[in-house]
Amino acid sequence: MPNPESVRTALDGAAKHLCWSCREETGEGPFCESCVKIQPAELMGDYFALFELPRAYAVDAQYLKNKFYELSRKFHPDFYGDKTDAEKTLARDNSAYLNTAFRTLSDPIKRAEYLLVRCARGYRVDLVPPQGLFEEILTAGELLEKNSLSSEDLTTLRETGRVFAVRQDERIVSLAGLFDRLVAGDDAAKGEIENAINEIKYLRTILDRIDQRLHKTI
Amino acid sequence: MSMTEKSKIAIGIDLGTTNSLAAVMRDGRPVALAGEHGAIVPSVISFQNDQLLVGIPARQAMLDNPDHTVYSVKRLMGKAAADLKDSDDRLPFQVVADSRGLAAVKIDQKIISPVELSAAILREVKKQAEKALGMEVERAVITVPAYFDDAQRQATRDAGKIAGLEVLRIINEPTAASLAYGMHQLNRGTIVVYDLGGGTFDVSILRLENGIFEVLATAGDTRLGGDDFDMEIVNDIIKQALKSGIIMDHPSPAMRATLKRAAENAKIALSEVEEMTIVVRAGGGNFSLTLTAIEFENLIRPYVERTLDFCRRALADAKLTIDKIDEVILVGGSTRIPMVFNAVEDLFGRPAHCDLGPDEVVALGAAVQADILTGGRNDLLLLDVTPLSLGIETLGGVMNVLIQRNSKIPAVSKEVFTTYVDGQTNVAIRVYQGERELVADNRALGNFDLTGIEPQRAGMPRIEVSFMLDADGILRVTAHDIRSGKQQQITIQPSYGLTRDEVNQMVRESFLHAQDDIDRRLFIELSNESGTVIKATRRAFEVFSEFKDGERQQIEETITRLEEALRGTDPQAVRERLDELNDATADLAARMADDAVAGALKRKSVEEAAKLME
Repeated sequence: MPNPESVRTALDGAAKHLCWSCREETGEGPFCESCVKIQPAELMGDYFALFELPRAYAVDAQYLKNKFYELSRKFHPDFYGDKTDAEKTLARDNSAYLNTAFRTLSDPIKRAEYLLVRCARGYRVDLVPPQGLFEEILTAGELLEKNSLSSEDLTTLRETGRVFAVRQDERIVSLAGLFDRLVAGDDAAKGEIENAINEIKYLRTILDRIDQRLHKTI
Repeated sequence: MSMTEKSKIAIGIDLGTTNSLAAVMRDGRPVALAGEHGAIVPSVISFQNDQLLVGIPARQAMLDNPDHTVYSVKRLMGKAAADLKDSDDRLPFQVVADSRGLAAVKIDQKIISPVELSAAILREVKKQAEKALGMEVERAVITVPAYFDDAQRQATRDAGKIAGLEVLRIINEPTAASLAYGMHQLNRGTIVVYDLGGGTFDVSILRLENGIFEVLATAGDTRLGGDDFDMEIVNDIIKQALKSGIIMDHPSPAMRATLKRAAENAKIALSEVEEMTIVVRAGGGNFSLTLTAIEFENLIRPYVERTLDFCRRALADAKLTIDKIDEVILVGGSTRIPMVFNAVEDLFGRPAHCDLGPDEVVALGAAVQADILTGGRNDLLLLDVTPLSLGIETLGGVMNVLIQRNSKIPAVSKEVFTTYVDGQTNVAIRVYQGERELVADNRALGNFDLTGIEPQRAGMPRIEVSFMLDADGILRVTAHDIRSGKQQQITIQPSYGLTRDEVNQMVRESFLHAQDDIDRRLFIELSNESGTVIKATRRAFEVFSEFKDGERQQIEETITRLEEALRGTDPQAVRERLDELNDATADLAARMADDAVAGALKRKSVEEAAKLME
């Protein structure tokens, strides 16, 4: 039994892929064009390529979900119960790859980081508080430290959370344009993207804590 | 029997805390399989002299022979005895720690594992199914609570194997229920499955679309169910009796069984009537107590509130609000209690479905999944998630999560770690499951060492740890030193489960093999392990000199005690002394982390060590 793992390694970087089973050219889809056996999903490319999306930040959630379902029907181990062990292993690995891809592309932060790594070499993460929200962050910090919250505190916390959520959404929306600039060759956009990602991350952390606190108090 | 003669049929089995049930696909619809006593096999096992009773006959024996009758075994699956301290009083049979500290049941002088007991139930279900189908059954999908951890899933899988079944898949009960409903009436929208059974509670949120069942989030508690309600009633009876001067504080097994049965009956009756008089024979006379539906509701309110909290958490995890929920499905016998279904309907603001019968629906769904896995239909697909986060221990006992809870399975994750001591050549990879920040609060799944790392300055080595979680929720962990290419890999063997060898042995041997055999083998294994640890410790004394005050003397005393135990025959005594020695040297081992000797000092059995050398 040929080992799919070794074929995959041997084929990395090759323009055309040979099927691990029949050694014919596989074509572009997940199944070999000659013998119809499942091929490693990584050969279909990165997460964007797998979902047949251009390398851009804006994605349509509905499209993403439909494509995820379509690919799940091709890869899921449930459909490989009576296949060979090599195919079962591939189905498992492909499904895991697909699940990670879907998770990454569905999440605004993970998608931005993934895309940034693909468009620019590396990036820097320093979790600094977003500018212009100093007072709100201070207030939220104080309230989150408190042992018990009055109903007034709860209202303040809820409102502060809303301010953060609005800012977070604005920054997420801004990423689409920034990435377009970066892809078009504007290197200055990189720094701005890094700042936006850091800010969204910072806000998400604090929003999670606020959510948790509000939930517990109910 | 040759492959071609083998029966191709695959059934779905709901292995419940209180009742178990099998179902099969017939003409495109799942149907429950009724055996000689009906479809339901009570999850009860009774030992009558040499005879083993399972199901209805065992349930009948419960009152006559309570200390030989075992039920609620599912609560013990994959658990250490120490996990169960609080419930020791509740059960009329004896729950003990086996030689490895796992929860087990003691009947007369025999110690029987919950896996074997579950296997006995599964074997009975299989037998009844075969009778109903008129053919042999070898393959099955078995359901577990969505919130079962790795050890509990593995234990269930092992039980199936011991019962002579090829377990095609372990699936989650609420997901199974959604499959059954999806087949019938619901085929689109966002649904909540609220599953409150005899011993466990689960809530799952799914999205149904064009035959895809995508689980968005799941939450629950594997120790919350109808058993708790019975227990509250029993405690109430005891309390009220005390007021009348009747002491039932430490009831005999027979008394406990009587009280439990009375409580169960009252609970069921109170779903229909406003009040119920409970009569218990006690202290030579009858003690009677009237329990109203309102009093009962007050007793169980805290439990119901907790289930609602889990519902809210699942919603938050799925990033959904209540108004986005299209349908609510009720599963499990305890959802018959008016207060329970009212609370659920109130929370979600809509009437809940229970038309498929809360007792059967899980088995029906398992039959659908069995059909999918055997190629019966390919229009339906279940996309499930892992209920608990998986990670490894990092500096300071902190849990570093690699796979988040509610990740879709199969799941893969990789992360690069480094060393924190100069020249360190070993790294212990300790795998945990759970949501708490510190590993000490989570469930240990297993550990192994990556050895032979090139000695470098602390922080320099790059060690890549990969997790692969398959569709059954079984985890495989790989660690590899990127520079040297050294690699170690294990399929996680739950610390609270059976080893492969033990399962195979149980498959081979008769069901109730003598504890003696196990003890003897265990004693040999422990002697070997003790020898290795003692030798390594003595070697440490030769090469290491920086001992704390009295440390060396204390360790030597522990060695002496272990050597004494080794001259006896009791494996439990050796295990305790060996643990003592391991504890006594833990600090020393940590300080010697960069020394090769430390590897052998760490908690690790000879077997594991041998495996790693292969």
